[in-house]
Amino acid sequence: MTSLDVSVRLARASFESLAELQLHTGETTVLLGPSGGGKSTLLRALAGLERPRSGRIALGDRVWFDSRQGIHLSPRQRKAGLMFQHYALFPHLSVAQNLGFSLFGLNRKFRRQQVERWLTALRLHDIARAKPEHISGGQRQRVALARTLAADPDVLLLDEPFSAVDSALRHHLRQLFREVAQERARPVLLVTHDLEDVRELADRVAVMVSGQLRRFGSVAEVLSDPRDLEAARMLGWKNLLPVARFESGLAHGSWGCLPALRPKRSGRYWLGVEPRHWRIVKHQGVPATVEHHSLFGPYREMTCRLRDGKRVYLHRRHDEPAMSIGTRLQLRVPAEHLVLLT
Amino acid sequence: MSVLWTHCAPAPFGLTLKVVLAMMLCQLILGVGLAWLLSRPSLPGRLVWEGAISLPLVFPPIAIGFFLLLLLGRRGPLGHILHDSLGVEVVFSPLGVYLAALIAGLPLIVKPVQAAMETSAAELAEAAYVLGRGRIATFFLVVVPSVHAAILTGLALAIGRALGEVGITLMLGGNIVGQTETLSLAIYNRVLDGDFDCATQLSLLLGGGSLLLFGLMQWLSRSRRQGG
Repeated sequence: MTSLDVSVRLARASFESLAELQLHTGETTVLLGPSGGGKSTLLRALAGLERPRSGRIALGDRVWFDSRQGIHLSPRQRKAGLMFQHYALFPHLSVAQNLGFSLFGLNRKFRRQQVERWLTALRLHDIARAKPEHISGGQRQRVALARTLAADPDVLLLDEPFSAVDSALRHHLRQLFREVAQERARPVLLVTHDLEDVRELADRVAVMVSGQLRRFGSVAEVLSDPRDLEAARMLGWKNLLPVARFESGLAHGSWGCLPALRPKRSGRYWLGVEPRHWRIVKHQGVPATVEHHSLFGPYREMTCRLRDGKRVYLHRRHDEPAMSIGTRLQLRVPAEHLVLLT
Repeated sequence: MSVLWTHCAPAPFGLTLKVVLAMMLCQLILGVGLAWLLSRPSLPGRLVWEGAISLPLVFPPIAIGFFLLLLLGRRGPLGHILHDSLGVEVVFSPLGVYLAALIAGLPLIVKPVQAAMETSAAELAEAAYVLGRGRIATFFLVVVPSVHAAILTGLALAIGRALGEVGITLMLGGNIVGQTETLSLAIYNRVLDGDFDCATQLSLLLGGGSLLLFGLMQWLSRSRRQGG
Protein backbone atom coordinates (compact mmCIF):
# COMPACT_ATOMS: atom_id res chain seq x y z
CA MET A 1 0.00 0.00 0.00
CA THR A 2 1.50 3.31 -1.13
CA SER A 3 1.20 6.35 1.04
CA LEU A 4 2.22 9.96 0.68
CA ASP A 5 4.49 10.83 3.58
CA VAL A 6 4.75 14.50 4.33
CA SER A 7 6.98 16.22 6.82
CA VAL A 8 7.65 19.81 5.78
CA ARG A 9 8.34 23.27 7.08
CA LEU A 10 6.88 26.00 4.88
CA ALA A 11 7.75 29.69 4.92
CA ARG A 12 4.80 32.07 4.97
CA ALA A 13 4.70 35.86 5.18
CA SER A 14 3.35 35.91 8.73
CA PHE A 15 4.34 32.54 10.18
CA GLU A 16 6.21 29.36 9.53
CA SER A 17 4.06 26.38 8.76
CA LEU A 18 4.76 22.86 9.98
CA ALA A 19 3.04 19.79 8.66
CA GLU A 20 3.60 16.14 9.32
CA LEU A 21 1.05 13.71 7.96
CA GLN A 22 0.64 10.48 6.10
CA LEU A 23 -1.95 10.08 3.36
CA HIS A 24 -2.89 6.48 2.65
CA THR A 25 -4.01 5.02 -0.65
CA GLY A 26 -7.77 4.88 -0.97
CA GLU A 27 -8.24 7.12 2.04
CA THR A 28 -9.54 10.66 2.02
CA THR A 29 -7.88 12.99 4.47
CA VAL A 30 -9.79 16.20 5.06
CA LEU A 31 -7.67 19.19 6.03
CA LEU A 32 -9.72 21.64 8.03
CA GLY A 33 -8.74 25.08 9.24
CA PRO A 34 -9.53 28.79 9.19
CA SER A 35 -8.68 30.97 6.18
CA GLY A 36 -5.06 32.03 5.98
CA GLY A 37 -4.00 29.12 8.16
CA GLY A 38 -1.62 27.60 5.61
CA LYS A 39 -3.84 24.88 4.11
CA SER A 40 -3.58 26.01 0.50
CA THR A 41 0.18 26.60 0.90
CA LEU A 42 0.55 22.98 1.97
CA LEU A 43 -1.44 21.81 -1.07
CA ARG A 44 0.73 23.94 -3.36
CA ALA A 45 3.87 22.52 -1.78
CA LEU A 46 2.61 18.97 -2.31
CA ALA A 47 1.81 19.74 -5.95
CA GLY A 48 5.31 21.15 -6.46
CA LEU A 49 4.22 24.76 -6.96
CA GLU A 50 5.97 25.96 -3.81
CA ARG A 51 9.26 24.88 -2.36
CA PRO A 52 9.16 24.04 1.35
CA ARG A 53 11.88 25.51 3.54
CA SER A 54 12.87 22.04 4.68
CA GLY A 55 11.58 18.51 5.10
CA ARG A 56 10.64 15.55 2.96
CA ILE A 57 7.72 14.49 0.76
CA ALA A 58 7.63 10.98 -0.67
CA LEU A 59 5.04 8.86 -2.41
CA GLY A 60 6.00 5.32 -1.43
CA ASP A 61 9.70 5.05 -2.22
CA ARG A 62 9.56 7.89 -4.75
CA VAL A 63 10.96 11.07 -3.21
CA TRP A 64 9.27 14.27 -4.42
CA PHE A 65 11.09 16.64 -2.15
CA ASP A 66 14.02 16.25 0.21
CA SER A 67 15.80 19.36 1.45
CA ARG A 68 18.81 17.36 2.67
CA GLN A 69 19.36 15.59 -0.63
CA GLY A 70 18.44 18.69 -2.68
CA ILE A 71 15.54 16.91 -4.42
CA HIS A 72 12.62 19.02 -5.64
CA LEU A 73 10.57 17.43 -8.40
CA SER A 74 8.62 19.72 -10.74
CA PRO A 75 4.79 19.49 -10.78
CA ARG A 76 4.80 17.45 -13.99
CA GLN A 77 7.25 14.93 -12.52
CA ARG A 78 5.08 14.45 -9.42
CA LYS A 79 1.84 13.67 -11.23
CA ALA A 80 -0.24 15.11 -8.40
CA GLY A 81 -3.72 16.26 -9.38
CA LEU A 82 -4.48 19.65 -7.86
CA MET A 83 -7.97 21.08 -8.18
CA PHE A 84 -7.65 24.81 -7.65
CA GLN A 85 -10.02 26.72 -5.40
CA HIS A 86 -10.93 29.11 -8.23
CA TYR A 87 -10.90 26.23 -10.74
CA ALA A 88 -8.24 27.72 -13.11
CA LEU A 89 -10.12 26.50 -16.18
CA PHE A 90 -8.50 27.54 -19.45
CA PRO A 91 -10.82 30.26 -20.76
CA HIS A 92 -9.92 29.81 -24.43
CA LEU A 93 -10.67 26.07 -24.43
CA SER A 94 -14.04 24.33 -24.42
CA VAL A 95 -15.09 22.09 -21.54
CA ALA A 96 -14.08 18.97 -23.53
CA GLN A 97 -10.73 20.54 -24.46
CA ASN A 98 -10.11 21.42 -20.82
CA LEU A 99 -10.72 17.79 -19.90
CA GLY A 100 -8.38 16.54 -22.61
CA PHE A 101 -5.61 19.02 -21.79
CA SER A 102 -3.56 16.58 -19.75
CA LEU A 103 -3.96 13.71 -22.22
CA PHE A 104 -1.39 14.94 -24.75
CA GLY A 105 0.89 12.36 -26.31
CA LEU A 106 -1.77 9.66 -26.12
CA ASN A 107 -3.49 8.35 -29.22
CA ARG A 108 -6.51 10.27 -30.39
CA LYS A 109 -9.02 7.46 -29.91
CA PHE A 110 -7.97 6.87 -26.30
CA ARG A 111 -8.06 10.60 -25.61
CA ARG A 112 -11.57 10.88 -26.97
CA GLN A 113 -12.68 7.89 -24.91
CA GLN A 114 -11.25 9.39 -21.74
CA VAL A 115 -12.87 12.77 -22.36
CA GLU A 116 -16.21 11.02 -23.06
CA ARG A 117 -15.86 9.00 -19.88
CA TRP A 118 -15.39 12.04 -17.64
CA LEU A 119 -18.02 14.07 -19.48
CA THR A 120 -20.45 11.27 -18.71
CA ALA A 121 -19.26 10.68 -15.14
CA LEU A 122 -19.73 14.31 -14.18
CA ARG A 123 -22.79 14.92 -16.37
CA LEU A 124 -21.08 17.48 -18.57
CA HIS A 125 -22.22 16.32 -22.02
CA ASP A 126 -24.60 19.23 -22.56
CA ILE A 127 -21.86 21.77 -22.09
CA ALA A 128 -18.96 19.87 -23.71
CA ARG A 129 -18.49 22.54 -26.39
CA ALA A 130 -19.11 25.57 -24.16
CA LYS A 131 -16.36 27.89 -22.95
CA PRO A 132 -15.90 28.20 -19.16
CA GLU A 133 -17.21 31.78 -19.13
CA HIS A 134 -20.55 30.57 -20.48
CA ILE A 135 -21.27 27.96 -17.82
CA SER A 136 -22.46 28.26 -14.20
CA GLY A 137 -20.29 28.17 -11.07
CA GLY A 138 -21.41 24.65 -10.22
CA GLN A 139 -20.67 23.44 -13.74
CA ARG A 140 -17.22 25.01 -13.59
CA GLN A 141 -16.56 23.18 -10.38
CA ARG A 142 -17.56 19.87 -11.99
CA VAL A 143 -15.35 20.60 -15.01
CA ALA A 144 -12.40 21.36 -12.73
CA LEU A 145 -12.96 18.11 -10.84
CA ALA A 146 -13.32 16.15 -14.09
CA ARG A 147 -10.15 17.72 -15.51
CA THR A 148 -8.20 16.78 -12.39
CA LEU A 149 -9.50 13.21 -12.45
CA ALA A 150 -9.01 12.79 -16.21
CA ALA A 151 -5.27 13.35 -15.72
CA ASP A 152 -5.21 10.11 -13.68
CA PRO A 153 -3.01 11.58 -10.94
CA ASP A 154 -1.14 9.50 -8.37
CA VAL A 155 -2.42 11.75 -5.56
CA LEU A 156 -5.54 13.92 -5.50
CA LEU A 157 -5.28 17.37 -3.90
CA LEU A 158 -8.52 19.33 -3.76
CA ASP A 159 -8.81 22.91 -2.58
CA GLU A 160 -12.38 23.51 -1.36
CA PRO A 161 -13.91 21.54 -4.22
CA PHE A 162 -17.56 21.91 -3.20
CA SER A 163 -17.62 25.44 -1.89
CA ALA A 164 -19.42 27.28 -4.71
CA VAL A 165 -22.41 25.02 -5.31
CA ASP A 166 -25.85 24.76 -3.75
CA SER A 167 -26.46 22.12 -1.10
CA ALA A 168 -28.30 19.65 -3.37
CA LEU A 169 -25.52 19.68 -5.96
CA ARG A 170 -22.91 19.59 -3.19
CA HIS A 171 -24.44 16.38 -1.88
CA HIS A 172 -24.45 14.89 -5.37
CA LEU A 173 -20.84 15.95 -6.00
CA ARG A 174 -19.70 14.45 -2.70
CA GLN A 175 -21.38 11.17 -3.58
CA LEU A 176 -19.79 11.20 -7.01
CA PHE A 177 -16.42 12.07 -5.56
CA ARG A 178 -16.63 9.25 -3.01
CA GLU A 179 -17.34 6.74 -5.78
CA VAL A 180 -14.48 8.02 -7.90
CA ALA A 181 -12.05 8.14 -4.96
CA GLN A 182 -12.90 4.53 -4.03
CA GLU A 183 -12.56 3.37 -7.63
CA ARG A 184 -9.26 5.15 -8.18
CA ALA A 185 -7.68 4.13 -4.88
CA ARG A 186 -5.35 7.10 -4.56
CA PRO A 187 -4.37 9.12 -1.52
CA VAL A 188 -6.67 12.14 -1.36
CA LEU A 189 -6.17 15.39 0.54
CA LEU A 190 -9.20 17.66 0.57
CA VAL A 191 -9.05 21.17 2.01
CA THR A 192 -12.29 22.58 3.33
CA HIS A 193 -14.10 24.83 5.80
CA ASP A 194 -17.19 22.68 5.67
CA LEU A 195 -17.83 20.14 8.44
CA GLU A 196 -20.18 18.26 6.12
CA ASP A 197 -17.16 17.36 3.98
CA VAL A 198 -15.57 15.86 7.09
CA ARG A 199 -18.69 13.88 8.01
CA GLU A 200 -19.45 12.64 4.49
CA LEU A 201 -16.03 12.09 2.98
CA ALA A 202 -13.23 11.87 5.51
CA ASP A 203 -11.42 8.77 6.61
CA ARG A 204 -8.94 10.94 8.46
CA VAL A 205 -9.02 14.54 9.60
CA ALA A 206 -6.20 17.03 9.95
CA VAL A 207 -6.81 20.41 11.59
CA MET A 208 -4.41 23.22 10.73
CA VAL A 209 -4.41 26.54 12.59
CA SER A 210 -1.85 29.34 12.02
CA GLY A 211 0.35 26.98 10.05
CA GLN A 212 0.47 24.32 12.75
CA LEU A 213 -1.10 20.91 12.40
CA ARG A 214 -3.05 20.82 15.67
CA ARG A 215 -4.69 17.44 15.26
CA PHE A 216 -4.45 14.52 12.88
CA GLY A 217 -6.18 11.16 13.17
CA SER A 218 -9.19 9.07 12.21
CA VAL A 219 -12.53 10.85 11.94
CA ALA A 220 -14.05 9.15 15.00
CA GLU A 221 -10.95 9.85 17.08
CA VAL A 222 -10.61 13.51 16.14
CA LEU A 223 -14.32 14.39 16.21
CA SER A 224 -14.85 12.88 19.66
CA ASP A 225 -11.59 14.14 21.18
CA PRO A 226 -10.15 17.21 19.43
CA ARG A 227 -7.62 17.76 22.30
CA ASP A 228 -6.89 21.30 21.08
CA LEU A 229 -9.19 24.30 21.62
CA GLU A 230 -8.78 25.70 18.09
CA ALA A 231 -9.21 22.25 16.60
CA ALA A 232 -12.40 21.82 18.64
CA ARG A 233 -13.73 25.17 17.37
CA MET A 234 -12.99 24.15 13.77
CA LEU A 235 -14.73 20.83 14.35
CA GLY A 236 -17.89 22.60 15.45
CA TRP A 237 -17.64 22.22 19.23
CA LYS A 238 -19.82 24.94 20.70
CA ASN A 239 -19.69 24.11 24.42
CA LEU A 240 -16.23 25.24 25.46
CA LEU A 241 -15.73 26.24 29.12
CA PRO A 242 -12.46 27.76 30.36
CA VAL A 243 -11.05 26.16 33.51
CA ALA A 244 -9.64 28.47 36.20
CA ARG A 245 -8.40 25.67 38.52
CA PHE A 246 -8.68 21.98 39.32
CA GLU A 247 -9.51 21.24 42.95
CA SER A 248 -10.94 18.25 44.83
CA GLY A 249 -11.79 16.34 41.67
CA LEU A 250 -13.60 19.33 40.18
CA ALA A 251 -12.80 21.77 37.37
CA HIS A 252 -13.78 25.27 38.45
CA GLY A 253 -14.57 28.28 36.32
CA SER A 254 -16.61 31.47 36.48
CA TRP A 255 -19.49 29.38 35.06
CA GLY A 256 -19.48 26.89 38.02
CA CYS A 257 -17.81 23.50 38.42
CA LEU A 258 -17.89 20.05 36.87
CA PRO A 259 -16.25 16.81 37.98
CA ALA A 260 -12.85 16.45 36.26
CA LEU A 261 -9.49 15.10 37.32
CA ARG A 262 -6.45 17.39 37.40
CA PRO A 263 -4.35 16.75 34.26
CA LYS A 264 -0.73 15.70 34.71
CA ARG A 265 0.66 18.73 32.92
CA SER A 266 -0.05 22.23 34.12
CA GLY A 267 -1.27 24.92 31.72
CA ARG A 268 -4.50 26.48 30.47
CA TYR A 269 -7.35 24.06 29.95
CA TRP A 270 -10.89 24.14 28.62
CA LEU A 271 -13.67 21.64 28.99
CA GLY A 272 -15.47 20.54 25.87
CA VAL A 273 -18.97 19.07 26.05
CA GLU A 274 -20.97 17.63 23.17
CA PRO A 275 -24.57 18.98 23.24
CA ARG A 276 -26.04 15.47 23.56
CA HIS A 277 -24.03 14.74 26.73
CA TRP A 278 -25.52 17.39 29.03
CA ARG A 279 -27.82 15.99 31.74
CA ILE A 280 -30.39 18.03 33.62
CA VAL A 281 -30.08 17.35 37.38
CA LYS A 282 -31.90 18.55 40.45
CA HIS A 283 -28.89 19.93 42.36
CA GLN A 284 -25.08 20.23 42.42
CA GLY A 285 -24.90 21.05 38.71
CA VAL A 286 -23.88 24.10 36.70
CA PRO A 287 -26.66 26.69 37.14
CA ALA A 288 -28.23 27.74 33.83
CA THR A 289 -31.28 29.53 32.43
CA VAL A 290 -33.16 28.41 29.30
CA GLU A 291 -32.87 31.15 26.68
CA HIS A 292 -33.92 29.75 23.34
CA HIS A 293 -35.15 26.64 21.49
CA SER A 294 -34.50 25.66 17.88
CA LEU A 295 -34.92 22.55 15.75
CA PHE A 296 -31.78 20.60 15.04
CA GLY A 297 -32.66 17.53 12.93
CA PRO A 298 -33.84 14.77 15.28
CA TYR A 299 -33.15 17.00 18.29
CA ARG A 300 -34.41 20.19 19.80
CA GLU A 301 -31.43 22.45 20.50
CA MET A 302 -31.79 24.36 23.75
CA THR A 303 -29.62 27.40 24.33
CA CYS A 304 -28.90 28.09 28.01
CA ARG A 305 -27.12 31.01 29.62
CA LEU A 306 -24.70 30.24 32.47
CA ARG A 307 -24.17 32.51 35.45
CA ASP A 308 -21.12 34.23 33.91
CA GLY A 309 -23.07 35.01 30.74
CA LYS A 310 -21.59 32.20 28.59
CA ARG A 311 -24.00 30.21 26.47
CA VAL A 312 -24.10 26.44 26.20
CA TYR A 313 -26.14 24.25 23.87
CA LEU A 314 -28.04 21.08 24.76
CA HIS A 315 -29.67 18.56 22.46
CA ARG A 316 -32.95 17.08 23.70
CA ARG A 317 -35.06 14.51 21.92
CA HIS A 318 -38.42 15.71 20.64
CA ASP A 319 -40.20 13.25 22.99
CA GLU A 320 -38.51 14.80 26.04
CA PRO A 321 -40.56 17.54 27.71
CA ALA A 322 -39.80 21.04 26.42
CA MET A 323 -38.66 23.59 28.98
CA SER A 324 -40.08 27.05 28.78
CA ILE A 325 -37.82 30.04 28.25
CA GLY A 326 -36.58 31.49 31.54
CA THR A 327 -36.63 28.13 33.39
CA ARG A 328 -33.72 27.78 35.79
CA LEU A 329 -32.01 24.42 35.81
CA GLN A 330 -28.83 22.59 36.83
CA LEU A 331 -26.61 20.88 34.26
CA ARG A 332 -24.08 18.09 34.63
CA VAL A 333 -21.96 15.96 32.32
CA PRO A 334 -20.90 12.41 33.14
CA ALA A 335 -17.13 12.47 33.70
CA GLU A 336 -16.49 10.05 30.82
CA HIS A 337 -18.04 12.53 28.38
CA LEU A 338 -16.03 15.57 29.46
CA VAL A 339 -13.25 16.35 26.98
CA LEU A 340 -10.19 18.20 28.16
CA LEU A 341 -8.73 20.69 25.67
CA THR A 342 -5.52 22.68 25.75
CA MET B 1 -4.71 63.68 -56.24
CA SER B 2 -2.47 61.06 -57.85
CA VAL B 3 0.02 63.80 -58.70
CA LEU B 4 0.05 64.79 -55.08
CA TRP B 5 0.50 61.12 -54.04
CA THR B 6 3.48 60.54 -56.33
CA HIS B 7 4.94 63.84 -55.24
CA CYS B 8 4.48 63.47 -51.48
CA ALA B 9 4.12 59.93 -50.28
CA PRO B 10 6.06 57.07 -51.92
CA ALA B 11 9.37 57.02 -50.02
CA PRO B 12 8.06 57.93 -46.53
CA PHE B 13 5.06 55.63 -47.03
CA GLY B 14 7.28 52.72 -48.05
CA LEU B 15 9.60 53.16 -45.06
CA THR B 16 6.68 53.59 -42.64
CA LEU B 17 4.99 50.46 -43.99
CA LYS B 18 8.21 48.51 -43.49
CA VAL B 19 8.52 49.87 -39.95
CA VAL B 20 4.92 48.85 -39.17
CA LEU B 21 5.40 45.32 -40.51
CA ALA B 22 8.73 44.91 -38.73
CA MET B 23 7.25 46.24 -35.50
CA MET B 24 4.30 43.84 -35.65
CA LEU B 25 6.78 40.99 -35.57
CA CYS B 26 9.37 42.51 -33.20
CA GLN B 27 6.91 43.91 -30.66
CA LEU B 28 4.98 40.65 -30.67
CA ILE B 29 8.03 38.50 -29.99
CA LEU B 30 10.01 40.88 -27.80
CA GLY B 31 7.05 42.54 -26.06
CA VAL B 32 5.25 39.32 -25.12
CA GLY B 33 8.52 37.59 -24.19
CA LEU B 34 9.61 40.47 -21.95
CA ALA B 35 6.15 40.69 -20.38
CA TRP B 36 6.34 36.98 -19.50
CA LEU B 37 9.80 37.41 -17.99
CA LEU B 38 8.78 40.50 -16.02
CA SER B 39 5.63 38.83 -14.73
CA ARG B 40 7.80 36.37 -12.82
CA PRO B 41 8.46 37.70 -9.32
CA SER B 42 11.68 35.68 -9.12
CA LEU B 43 13.36 37.49 -12.05
CA PRO B 44 16.67 38.99 -10.80
CA GLY B 45 16.76 42.80 -11.10
CA ARG B 46 13.08 42.88 -12.06
CA LEU B 47 12.57 46.49 -10.96
CA VAL B 48 15.57 47.71 -12.98
CA TRP B 49 14.32 45.95 -16.12
CA GLU B 50 10.82 47.34 -15.61
CA GLY B 51 12.20 50.84 -15.12
CA ALA B 52 14.36 50.65 -18.25
CA ILE B 53 11.48 49.43 -20.43
CA SER B 54 9.06 52.03 -19.05
CA LEU B 55 11.51 54.92 -19.52
CA PRO B 56 10.09 56.08 -22.90
CA LEU B 57 6.72 56.64 -21.19
CA VAL B 58 8.09 59.23 -18.78
CA PHE B 59 11.30 60.54 -20.37
CA PRO B 60 11.07 63.11 -23.22
CA PRO B 61 11.53 61.23 -26.54
CA ILE B 62 13.94 63.82 -27.90
CA ALA B 63 16.17 63.39 -24.83
CA ILE B 64 16.06 59.61 -25.13
CA GLY B 65 16.96 59.99 -28.80
CA PHE B 66 19.88 62.22 -27.87
CA PHE B 67 21.27 59.75 -25.32
CA LEU B 68 20.86 56.91 -27.81
CA LEU B 69 22.68 59.03 -30.38
CA LEU B 70 25.59 59.42 -27.97
CA LEU B 71 25.52 55.69 -27.19
CA LEU B 72 25.09 54.38 -30.73
CA GLY B 73 26.87 57.05 -32.75
CA ARG B 74 30.02 56.00 -34.60
CA ARG B 75 32.13 57.34 -31.72
CA GLY B 76 29.72 56.20 -29.00
CA PRO B 77 30.71 53.34 -26.68
CA LEU B 78 28.30 50.85 -28.31
CA GLY B 79 28.12 52.35 -31.81
CA HIS B 80 31.87 52.20 -32.19
CA ILE B 81 31.91 48.46 -31.37
CA LEU B 82 29.00 47.77 -33.73
CA HIS B 83 30.65 49.71 -36.51
CA ASP B 84 34.20 48.42 -36.11
CA SER B 85 33.49 44.76 -35.45
CA LEU B 86 30.21 44.13 -37.32
CA GLY B 87 30.13 46.98 -39.80
CA VAL B 88 26.67 47.94 -38.57
CA GLU B 89 25.68 51.59 -38.76
CA VAL B 90 22.70 52.35 -36.53
CA VAL B 91 22.64 56.14 -36.45
CA PHE B 92 21.31 58.03 -39.52
CA SER B 93 20.30 54.78 -41.20
CA PRO B 94 16.95 52.97 -41.58
CA LEU B 95 18.09 50.70 -38.74
CA GLY B 96 17.96 53.75 -36.45
CA VAL B 97 14.34 54.33 -37.50
CA TYR B 98 13.39 50.73 -36.68
CA LEU B 99 15.18 50.93 -33.33
CA ALA B 100 13.40 54.20 -32.48
CA ALA B 101 10.01 52.65 -33.23
CA LEU B 102 10.87 49.60 -31.15
CA ILE B 103 12.03 51.56 -28.09
CA ALA B 104 9.10 53.97 -28.20
CA GLY B 105 6.46 51.24 -28.57
CA LEU B 106 7.87 48.55 -26.31
CA PRO B 107 6.45 49.75 -22.95
CA LEU B 108 2.99 50.07 -24.51
CA ILE B 109 2.84 46.36 -25.22
CA VAL B 110 4.90 45.09 -22.28
CA LYS B 111 2.89 46.86 -19.56
CA PRO B 112 -0.66 45.66 -20.39
CA VAL B 113 0.49 42.16 -21.28
CA GLN B 114 2.55 41.90 -18.10
CA ALA B 115 -0.43 43.06 -16.01
CA ALA B 116 -2.72 40.52 -17.69
CA MET B 117 -0.19 37.76 -17.15
CA GLU B 118 0.24 38.66 -13.49
CA THR B 119 -3.48 38.72 -12.77
CA SER B 120 -5.05 35.98 -14.85
CA ALA B 121 -2.34 33.86 -16.43
CA ALA B 122 -0.27 32.94 -13.37
CA GLU B 123 -2.77 30.46 -11.91
CA LEU B 124 -3.62 29.10 -15.37
CA ALA B 125 0.06 28.43 -15.98
CA GLU B 126 0.29 26.62 -12.64
CA ALA B 127 -2.74 24.53 -13.61
CA ALA B 128 -1.01 23.61 -16.87
CA TYR B 129 2.19 22.60 -15.02
CA VAL B 130 0.20 20.41 -12.63
CA LEU B 131 -1.55 18.83 -15.63
CA GLY B 132 1.85 17.79 -16.94
CA ARG B 133 2.85 20.51 -19.38
CA GLY B 134 6.32 22.05 -19.55
CA ARG B 135 7.13 25.75 -19.54
CA ILE B 136 7.28 26.24 -23.32
CA ALA B 137 4.05 24.35 -24.03
CA THR B 138 2.36 26.24 -21.20
CA PHE B 139 3.50 29.57 -22.60
CA PHE B 140 2.12 28.92 -26.09
CA LEU B 141 -0.93 26.81 -25.21
CA VAL B 142 -2.15 28.64 -22.11
CA VAL B 143 -0.43 31.93 -21.31
CA VAL B 144 -0.51 33.58 -24.74
CA PRO B 145 -4.10 32.58 -25.63
CA SER B 146 -5.39 33.64 -22.22
CA VAL B 147 -3.95 37.17 -22.58
CA HIS B 148 -4.60 37.57 -26.31
CA ALA B 149 -6.84 40.61 -25.80
CA ALA B 150 -4.09 42.43 -23.91
CA ILE B 151 -1.56 41.43 -26.59
CA LEU B 152 -3.69 42.82 -29.42
CA THR B 153 -4.45 46.03 -27.54
CA GLY B 154 -0.79 46.49 -26.63
CA LEU B 155 0.28 45.77 -30.19
CA ALA B 156 -2.15 48.35 -31.57
CA LEU B 157 -0.87 50.96 -29.12
CA ALA B 158 2.79 50.12 -29.79
CA ILE B 159 2.38 50.33 -33.55
CA GLY B 160 0.31 53.48 -33.25
CA ARG B 161 3.14 54.97 -31.20
CA ALA B 162 5.69 53.81 -33.79
CA LEU B 163 3.66 55.47 -36.57
CA GLY B 164 3.62 58.79 -34.75
CA GLU B 165 7.19 58.64 -33.42
CA VAL B 166 9.25 61.78 -34.17
CA GLY B 167 11.64 62.60 -31.32
CA ILE B 168 13.75 59.45 -31.12
CA THR B 169 13.46 58.86 -34.90
CA LEU B 170 14.74 62.36 -35.60
CA MET B 171 17.83 61.78 -33.47
CA LEU B 172 18.61 58.20 -34.51
CA GLY B 173 17.39 58.30 -38.12
CA GLY B 174 18.53 61.80 -38.88
CA ASN B 175 15.51 62.78 -41.02
CA ILE B 176 17.30 62.16 -44.32
CA VAL B 177 14.81 62.67 -47.17
CA GLY B 178 14.41 59.53 -49.24
CA GLN B 179 16.29 57.38 -46.70
CA THR B 180 15.14 57.80 -43.12
CA GLU B 181 12.12 60.01 -43.61
CA THR B 182 8.98 58.39 -42.11
CA LEU B 183 5.46 59.69 -42.71
CA SER B 184 5.52 61.63 -39.41
CA LEU B 185 8.81 63.28 -40.30
CA ALA B 186 7.56 63.92 -43.85
CA ILE B 187 4.59 65.89 -42.45
CA TYR B 188 6.98 67.94 -40.32
CA ASN B 189 9.27 68.56 -43.33
CA ARG B 190 6.38 69.55 -45.65
CA VAL B 191 5.08 72.03 -43.10
CA LEU B 192 8.56 73.57 -42.83
CA ASP B 193 8.62 73.79 -46.64
CA GLY B 194 5.19 75.46 -46.63
CA ASP B 195 3.71 72.58 -48.67
CA PHE B 196 0.41 72.35 -46.79
CA ASP B 197 -1.34 70.25 -49.46
CA CYS B 198 1.22 67.51 -49.04
CA ALA B 199 1.18 67.84 -45.25
CA THR B 200 -2.64 67.49 -45.25
CA GLN B 201 -2.56 64.43 -47.47
CA LEU B 202 0.15 62.74 -45.42
CA SER B 203 -1.62 63.57 -42.15
CA LEU B 204 -4.85 62.05 -43.46
CA LEU B 205 -2.96 58.98 -44.65
CA LEU B 206 -1.18 58.54 -41.31
CA GLY B 207 -4.27 59.21 -39.20
CA GLY B 208 -6.45 56.93 -41.34
CA GLY B 209 -3.86 54.17 -41.23
CA SER B 210 -3.59 54.41 -37.43
CA LEU B 211 -7.37 54.29 -36.98
CA LEU B 212 -7.66 51.35 -39.40
CA LEU B 213 -4.99 49.44 -37.53
CA PHE B 214 -6.54 50.12 -34.14
CA GLY B 215 -9.98 49.09 -35.43
CA LEU B 216 -8.55 45.88 -36.87
CA MET B 217 -6.90 44.96 -33.57
CA GLN B 218 -10.08 45.69 -31.62
CA TRP B 219 -12.13 43.58 -34.01
CA LEU B 220 -9.65 40.73 -33.79
CA SER B 221 -9.65 40.92 -30.01
CA ARG B 222 -13.47 40.89 -29.82
CA SER B 223 -14.00 38.16 -32.39
CA ARG B 224 -11.49 35.92 -30.60
CA ARG B 225 -13.17 36.56 -27.27
CA GLN B 226 -16.61 35.73 -28.67
CA GLY B 227 -15.72 32.88 -30.95
CA GLY B 228 -13.05 31.38 -28.95
